Amino acid sequence: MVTVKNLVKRYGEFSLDVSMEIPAGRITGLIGRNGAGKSTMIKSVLGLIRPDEGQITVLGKEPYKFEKEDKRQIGVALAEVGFSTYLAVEDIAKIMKKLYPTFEETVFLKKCADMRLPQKKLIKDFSTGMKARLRVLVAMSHNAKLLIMDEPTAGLDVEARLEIQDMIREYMLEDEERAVLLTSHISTDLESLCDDIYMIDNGKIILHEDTDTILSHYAIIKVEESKMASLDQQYILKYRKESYGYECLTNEKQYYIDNYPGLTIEKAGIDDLILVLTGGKK
Amino acid sequence: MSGLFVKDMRLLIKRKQVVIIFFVLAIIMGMSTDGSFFVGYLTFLSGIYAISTISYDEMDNGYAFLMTLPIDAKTYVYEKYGFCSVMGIIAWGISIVLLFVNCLRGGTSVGFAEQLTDAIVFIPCMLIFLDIMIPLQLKFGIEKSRVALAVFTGGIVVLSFGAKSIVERSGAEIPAFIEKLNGMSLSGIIAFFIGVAAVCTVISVMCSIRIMEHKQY
Repeated sequence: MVTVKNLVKRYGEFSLDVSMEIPAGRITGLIGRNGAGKSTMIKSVLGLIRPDEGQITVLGKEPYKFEKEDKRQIGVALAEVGFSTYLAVEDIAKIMKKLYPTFEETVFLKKCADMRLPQKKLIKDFSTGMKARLRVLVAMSHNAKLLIMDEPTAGLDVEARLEIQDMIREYMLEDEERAVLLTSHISTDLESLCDDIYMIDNGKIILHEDTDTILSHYAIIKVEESKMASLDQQYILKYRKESYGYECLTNEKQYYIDNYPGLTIEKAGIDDLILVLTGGKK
Repeated sequence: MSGLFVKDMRLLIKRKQVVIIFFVLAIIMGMSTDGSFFVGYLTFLSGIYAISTISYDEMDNGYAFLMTLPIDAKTYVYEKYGFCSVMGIIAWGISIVLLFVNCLRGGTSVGFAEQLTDAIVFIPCMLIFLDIMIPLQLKFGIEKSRVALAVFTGGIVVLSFGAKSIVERSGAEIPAFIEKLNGMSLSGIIAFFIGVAAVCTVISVMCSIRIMEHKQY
C-alpha cells in the first residue's frame, strides 16, 4: 500500500534517509525518540512536504499528485492537529458528510456518543483524551483503506490509550485489506498493536522486524565485565556499558539460553531495543 | 469545495456575539445614516470577517490536517475567494434592504435609485480589497500579514504622491486616461471598477494558488 524508496529530506543539519514498505492487512509501527524523523516521514507519505530525493508511492500514486478520490482512501490523524478547535462534533459531522461520500453521519455521531464526546461542545474545551479520540474517530469515519496516525496516543492516560488501541484493532478486523501506519514513542502501544515495527533514529531506519520476532527472539543479556570476553559475540547486535558490566542486545535469545545456562537473559522490550540500539556500541 | 464552505460558514456562525453585533450595527446605521456610506462599511466589515476564517485554518498548524482532506491548494483558494465574496455580497444585500427601508420611511435626503447606483461600486471595491488581503494572509499568516498590509498600503501612498509630485514638477499634462475618468458617467465608473476588480481577482487568485502550492506543512 505504501512504498518508500530511499527517501531523503534535509532540514539544515538534520537529514531523513529512509526506505520502508507497508503492505495491506498489517499494522505497521514507526517508533523513535522525539526528533528522530517520524513526523517528517509521515508528512512525506501524505504529500505535505516534498522529498529532496527518493520515491514514495501511496496506493499506487505519488502523494503530491493525489486527486480528491485518492485522498478519500486515506484516513489521517496527526499529532495535536485536526479540525479547528472552534468547531464542535456536530459541525465536523456536517463537514465530513460533504467531503466524503462514504461518511455516515449517524454512525459517526453514535460512535462519538459512545466515546463520551459531546456534540455541541467546542473542541477547544475538550480534554486531551477527548481530542485524541475525536481525531482517531474522524480518521476512521469514511472507510479509508489506509490509516495514517501520528502519535495517536500521545499525552493520554492508560485507559484512553487502551481505548484508542481497541478502536484501531476493530477497524482492522472490519476489513483485512486495510493497512495502518502509526507512529509512537510509547513502546507498549506498538508492542500490543503492530504486526511489524520500524525503528528510526536520527533520520535513519535502524531496525525493521516483526513484533512477534522482537518479543520472542530478541533479548537483553546482562554480563559481568570479566565474562564479556568469553561470550560468543556473533549474535550480539549491540552492547552498552553498565555499572555491573555490559548490557548486550541479541536477536538469538535461544542460542544464549542453550549455551550459557548461568547467564542473565531478559526478554527485550521495544524500550530496551531503543536504548541499546541508539546508545550502544557494535 | 462545499465541505470547506460549510466549515467556514459554521466557524463564523459559532461567533454568535460578532454576528449579533453585525446585525445590530447594520440596523442602527441603516436607520440613522443619510446616504449609502454604511452599505460600503458593512460590505467591507463582512469581507474582513470572512477573511478571518483563514486565521482559523492556520491556527495550530491546521493547514497540515486540512490538506490531508480531499481538497487541493486550488480548491482551497477558489473556496476562500468564493466564500469571502459571497459574504461581502450578502452583507451588501442586507444593507441595500435597510437602505430601501430607510428611504421608505423618509430617513434619507436622496432617492433610493440614485443611492443604489452609488452603492453598486462598493462590490468591486470590496473584491479588490479581498484580492489584496487574501494572498497576504495566505503568504504571511495572521500576524505578519498586518505588517505586510501596512507596508503595501504605505507603498501605494508613496507611489501615488511620488507620481503626482513628478507630474506637477515636470509641468507635464495629466495623463489622458485620468482626464477621461474625471469625465466618466457613474455607470462608466462602475464598469471601470468591475473591470479592474475582475483583472485583480484573476491575478490575485493565481498568486494565492502559487502560494498554497509552494507551502510545506
